[in-house]
Amino acid sequence: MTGTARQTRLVKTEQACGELRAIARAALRSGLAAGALVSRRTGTTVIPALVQDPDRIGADAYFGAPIMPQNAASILSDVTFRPPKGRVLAVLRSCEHRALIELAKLKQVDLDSILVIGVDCLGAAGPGAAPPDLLDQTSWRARMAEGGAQAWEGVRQACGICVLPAATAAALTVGLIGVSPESGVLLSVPDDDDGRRLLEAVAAEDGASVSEPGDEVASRAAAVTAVADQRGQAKASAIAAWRDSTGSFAALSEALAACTRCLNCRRACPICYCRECVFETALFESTGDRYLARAARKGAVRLPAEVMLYQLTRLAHMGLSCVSCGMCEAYCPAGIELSMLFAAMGQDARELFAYDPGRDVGEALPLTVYREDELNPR
Amino acid sequence: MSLSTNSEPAMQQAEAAREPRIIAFLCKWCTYTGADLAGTSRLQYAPNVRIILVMCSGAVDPLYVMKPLLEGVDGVLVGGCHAGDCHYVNGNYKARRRIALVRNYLEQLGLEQERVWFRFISASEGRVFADTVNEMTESLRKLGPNALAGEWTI
Repeated sequence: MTGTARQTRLVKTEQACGELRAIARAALRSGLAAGALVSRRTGTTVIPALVQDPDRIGADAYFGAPIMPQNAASILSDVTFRPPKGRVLAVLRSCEHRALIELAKLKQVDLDSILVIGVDCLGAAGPGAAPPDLLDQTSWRARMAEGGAQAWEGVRQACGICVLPAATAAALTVGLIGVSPESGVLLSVPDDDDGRRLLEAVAAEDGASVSEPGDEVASRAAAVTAVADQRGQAKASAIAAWRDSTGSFAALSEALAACTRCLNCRRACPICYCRECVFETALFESTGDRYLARAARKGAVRLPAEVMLYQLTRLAHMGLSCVSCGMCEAYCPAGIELSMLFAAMGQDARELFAYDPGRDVGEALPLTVYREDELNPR
Repeated sequence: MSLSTNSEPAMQQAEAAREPRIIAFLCKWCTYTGADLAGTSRLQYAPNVRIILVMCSGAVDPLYVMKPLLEGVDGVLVGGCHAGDCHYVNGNYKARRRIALVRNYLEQLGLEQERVWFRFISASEGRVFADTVNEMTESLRKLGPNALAGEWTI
């Protein structure tokens, strides 16, 4: 993990874009993982699937795909809540790995059951039919090599302001940004028995080779920094614009006008883990007379009621852990810009506790801890 | 007739003349008992507060602080035990963080921070409780009515 010595190698396969598949097969064959979470490509999208047999990781396995029907952390919570005997390999983009870490703090996943391969990401399409060139691994890898902060067509708005495109500090990482597909991918492993075992297993895969990297490491670092910097600026101006246009009760209620409180956003959210959301309980059932009384009080009552309270409660309950994956917005049938709501309002609140969700599994959730000498009253 | 209540001058005037309304969440072990002491000691204090008993200030979900304010109540008071005195070890400290979070969110959307008060008041501080309610009522009177009372879209 971080802090320990690591080694970085260039992995290349004869088959175009086969490197991540070879790494996954090697992890299964060497016994480092008992199963792999695979994005299986269909005609229009990818479907997450758990594969146990390395020989079933074929050309339809699309690791790191720029298509995100769900945040993989939600799936891994399902798979490891009752932990399996072996580890499950999962190739995760930054927002998925950070969500996984937040879920670990919430005791919703078993990190010991997951072998994370962090992967670079420049943005991902949401649910629904994906643009054809994102479904094509060759064109995707060419775009990753190109880098650039410009959001691709069909990629979600949340990705356009993502400042963490690089693979997170996972056990294993795969670098793709600024690395030409002809060179292969940059695989970084810990300099320990497991790491060496994986590198040997990868080298033993059909048509795969492992070598010392050349200038790929430097070119990736430069490309990643360029993207992060430009997106940081894009994020700052998007947040400023949101505050100007939507940062008041009146304007936000306008932005939430189409909300029916269907709770799709909370179901799509990797962090919202409650079996039963408080907004699904009898607490929010009312009677005709009570509605009339409320209507009398304010002149009218908006129906369905409590959409503002719902979004503010979500902000209070999980906003500090929001990893900005944008799944809430992707699943909103009313097209409400929820990712901006959480990016803008959440940023200020996270600064209050100097909290960065998913940064470190050892860092406590802000609302579960306290300091005696902070805030008021004392 | 317009749906918006605040476009009607008569109602606007009524709003301005209206006495502040406060919802208070008081912990059973300290502040509620303090409020009880204020009562049994026959202390006079502003009748603007409606008290809700909770087992611990740490049990007050942000939801319950925000709901009355969105409904148009003028202020919410949360009362807990003094530092180090929480019956449940540290619920008051955790409440303090939660209240800070709620105030941050509400302020970002334009609601005055002074509408949410958090105070440590012990079971023996009947006088402090009475004074706190008086102070809060006075401060809310100066602040004027909660603008959200007229916002039916919220």
